[in-house]
Amino acid sequence: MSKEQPAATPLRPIEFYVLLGLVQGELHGYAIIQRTAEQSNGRVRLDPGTLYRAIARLRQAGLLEEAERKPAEDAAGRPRRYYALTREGRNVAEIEARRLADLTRDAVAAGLLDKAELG
Amino acid sequence: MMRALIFGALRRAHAATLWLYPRDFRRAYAQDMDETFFDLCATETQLRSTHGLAASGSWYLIRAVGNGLGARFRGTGRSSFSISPRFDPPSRPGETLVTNLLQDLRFAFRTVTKNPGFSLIVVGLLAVGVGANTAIYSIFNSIYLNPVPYAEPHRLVQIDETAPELNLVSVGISPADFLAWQDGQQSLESIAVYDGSAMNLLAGDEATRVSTMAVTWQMAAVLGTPPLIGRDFTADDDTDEAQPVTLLTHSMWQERFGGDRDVIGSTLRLDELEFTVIGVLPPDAVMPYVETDLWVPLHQTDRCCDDPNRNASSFWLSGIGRIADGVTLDQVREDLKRVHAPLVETLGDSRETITPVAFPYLEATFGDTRPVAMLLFAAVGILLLVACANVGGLLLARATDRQREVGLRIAIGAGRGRIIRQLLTESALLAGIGGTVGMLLGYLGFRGLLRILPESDFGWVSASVDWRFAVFSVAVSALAALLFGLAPAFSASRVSPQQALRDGGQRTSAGPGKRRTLKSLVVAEIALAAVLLVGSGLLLRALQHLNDVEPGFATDRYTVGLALPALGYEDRDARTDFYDAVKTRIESLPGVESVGLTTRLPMEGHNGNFFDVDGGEPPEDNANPVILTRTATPDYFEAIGIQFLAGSAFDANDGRDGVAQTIVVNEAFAQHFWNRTDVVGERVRPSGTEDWLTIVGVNRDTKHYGLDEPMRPGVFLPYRDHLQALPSIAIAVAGPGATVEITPAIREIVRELDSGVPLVRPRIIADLVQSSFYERRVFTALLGIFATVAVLLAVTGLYSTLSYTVGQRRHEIGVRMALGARSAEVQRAILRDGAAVAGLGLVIGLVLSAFATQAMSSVLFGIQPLDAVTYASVVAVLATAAVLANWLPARRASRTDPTSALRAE
Repeated sequence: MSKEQPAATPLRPIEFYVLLGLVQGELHGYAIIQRTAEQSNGRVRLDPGTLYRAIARLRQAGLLEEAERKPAEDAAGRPRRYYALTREGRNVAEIEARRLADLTRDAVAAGLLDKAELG
Repeated sequence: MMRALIFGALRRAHAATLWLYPRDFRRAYAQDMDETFFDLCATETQLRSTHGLAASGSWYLIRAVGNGLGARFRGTGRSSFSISPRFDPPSRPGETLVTNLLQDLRFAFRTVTKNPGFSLIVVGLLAVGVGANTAIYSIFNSIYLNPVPYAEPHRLVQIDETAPELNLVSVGISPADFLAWQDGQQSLESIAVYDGSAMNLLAGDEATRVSTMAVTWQMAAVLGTPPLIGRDFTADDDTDEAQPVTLLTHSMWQERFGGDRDVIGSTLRLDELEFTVIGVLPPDAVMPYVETDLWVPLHQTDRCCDDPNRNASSFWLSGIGRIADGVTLDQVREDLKRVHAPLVETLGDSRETITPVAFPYLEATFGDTRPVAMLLFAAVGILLLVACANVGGLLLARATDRQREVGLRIAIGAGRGRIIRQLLTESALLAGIGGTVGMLLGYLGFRGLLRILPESDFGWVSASVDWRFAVFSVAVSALAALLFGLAPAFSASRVSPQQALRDGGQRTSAGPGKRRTLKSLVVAEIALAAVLLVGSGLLLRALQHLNDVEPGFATDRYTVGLALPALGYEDRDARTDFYDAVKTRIESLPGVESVGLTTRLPMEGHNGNFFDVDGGEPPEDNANPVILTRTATPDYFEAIGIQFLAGSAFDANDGRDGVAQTIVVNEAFAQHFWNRTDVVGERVRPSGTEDWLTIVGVNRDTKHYGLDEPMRPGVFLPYRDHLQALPSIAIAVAGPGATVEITPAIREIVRELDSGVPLVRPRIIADLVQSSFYERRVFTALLGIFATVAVLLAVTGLYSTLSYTVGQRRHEIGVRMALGARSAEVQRAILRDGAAVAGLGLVIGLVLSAFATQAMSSVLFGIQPLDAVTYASVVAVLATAAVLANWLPARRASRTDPTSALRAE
């Protein structure tokens, strides 16, 4: 791995989750909240303010952008804004994940955590 | 149904919270957020009970408010990520702000106490800066913002008469003019004239001289200080036929009568007349003469008002009035002119040249002190800046040492804003402590200042401080905290955690940028100190010039005044006999060589008349000057050391038959009328008299109005022939015995002749001269103290900055020395470094001074604002101080041991 370390790490957990939520594709705000709740097994419950402040920060950092091609309108016919990861965003999320994985492995190696616990 | 209601309410409430967000944020996301919230609630509505919907809806709302406020005040900021909100009670907005503040304060307190030496220095520096400012501010406050203890002081006007054609700005008011104005004017609620004088108070066989103020009956109403007990004067009290009555001032009542209310109705024997006490004035009635003991109606003084001729021809009263509601100052002026105009017919043409004027009272009273007060204010402002720069430098240097700590805190998640806030909290805490100590110092300083400032000008200033003082102190401290705290805080927060932590436990070094900031602070300090030093140097030189002024009389002589009561000495011969007897007896005292009498000592005020010259040049452009008129015994000239340019004193017997034949004029008089000084034999006479007086002597000019004032033309008449019935006289004594120790002997002599005659102000002439510029000496000393402190601060700043950078560059110096640099070279390099900083500061300071001191020219005497001696001295002083401050760090650097310096890395 010779990737340069981006300036923004370590990520805040909230930002990491927002990035994670978008790994599978473009989503609108409410969908991000839902996806995050799924991915965290209900442990993370975002509210709109927290979410959009995070989105604002991530956009500013260039990790996230408004999706260019908008998928069709939703069921109610309202236009929605969709967000997508930038290449940089994907990199950062990956680096963060690896970092966390390394840390976790080390914690297991140190006997702090049980391997089984990680599932 | 219920759910739909809740749903709608929640959505509207949420929409409202969106307004909390900053505008840009709102524009970008508000719509999306609303929709997201809608979706969220829709889901919740399906999943939950009514109760559950309300609960989670409220939770979202609270979060929304917190986020909105957070976004507004802290930017998009840190997220408040929460896990399992069901077990984690929602945090209230603002809670974090308060907890942070408390945490910051606790931490700041620990940091401050952990390093008591450092904190003590910082607090000390700030206390000096804040203290000096609050002390001077209090004076300023007392004079300009809260000036006199009277109701609505801006409605007070000072009234006078002026005669520009006679080259007289202030003539004084004649009783006749005043009485006419008082009857006719319509623009003033009340009007009064007053004159400070003194009377002899006889109690038992003990006579004391008390200060009296002769006032017209409305005086207390003008000032807005009706009597505390008893009654005020009425118009009937102020007539020639009235029974003599008096009002006691509060201090007299307290000191002499112990605050006894029964004093009302009792009588006081003043100048042999029985005065009934009718009331006591409140403590506030202290203007315009602080030391006044009692007020008497103007008609009860022997200078007024039964002789219509004298009422019209003598101008000696000061006037004051209170403007009526809704009237402007210009209207008052017009009104006075209107009532004055008819006087040309009744009192003569002189009323065309001599006309009434009115000024705002505060301006007239305190206008003169303004430049000086502004100067002092500017000085303490500069002092505060220097102190702040100094503290800023110290904190900046320490911030470098704290890089590791800051780096660590950033690494574990502290935001930049949080770090800045933390460091600013520390500055604020230091400023708070420094400010509190400074406030105390300022208060003490203020009290001290009041004690040393001239009583006559500042005696009425009460030594209490008001809310403005507190507000000012806090504001100055806060300003200081910002001034000295911001740069270090921002500089420290720019630390990169990787860098700071990688450096490990090693002492980190300040980057060139930070060193530059440090040096600029020192440059600023030196420049500001130079400005102060130049200012105080100029004042000092002016004072020196003043001290060097040849007064034209000897200052080592002794003087004491005698004041005769009017009753018993109505006859002029009775007075001169008494004075002669005293004089003869003093002459026989051991150690006394000559004794002279005069009606007016130098520096003791003016008494003017017009003079005609027999065959002299008619004065050009009609500027017939007012001639300072004094009377003296022939031996007065010797007793006080006045020299003659031509001729000599008059004969001791001249004027014994009531008409003087001869006169002594001064150099300025001779020059004015004849353009030469050998005018013995010429003849002059007071305007309006018949007989010519022959000039027998021309005396060298003396300084009469102050050492920095030019001399007017003046004359001495034989004292037996006073132009005015002067009840008091000054005795001048020369000889080895002429010290204050002679006073008891003189008192005994006077008591033997008449126990009812008190001595007035025994002192050495030098004291009289010194007291004439006492105020200037005080201000010069104050500015000198401020300048000295500023220079000390600047030099310490230079020293600590250099020591610090030398310490920082130890490694580099070690490398250089290991590579063969000799210690002398190292020393030179460091010295050069320091000299550059000091030199730059000095140059900037001198240039600034050249501009700043132009404003001082009005208070400088005998020197120019660009006085070369002052500037050269300032350069010398600051350069020497800078070399000393440079030398120690340079020497330390040159003794760096390369091996240990390198090993330490």
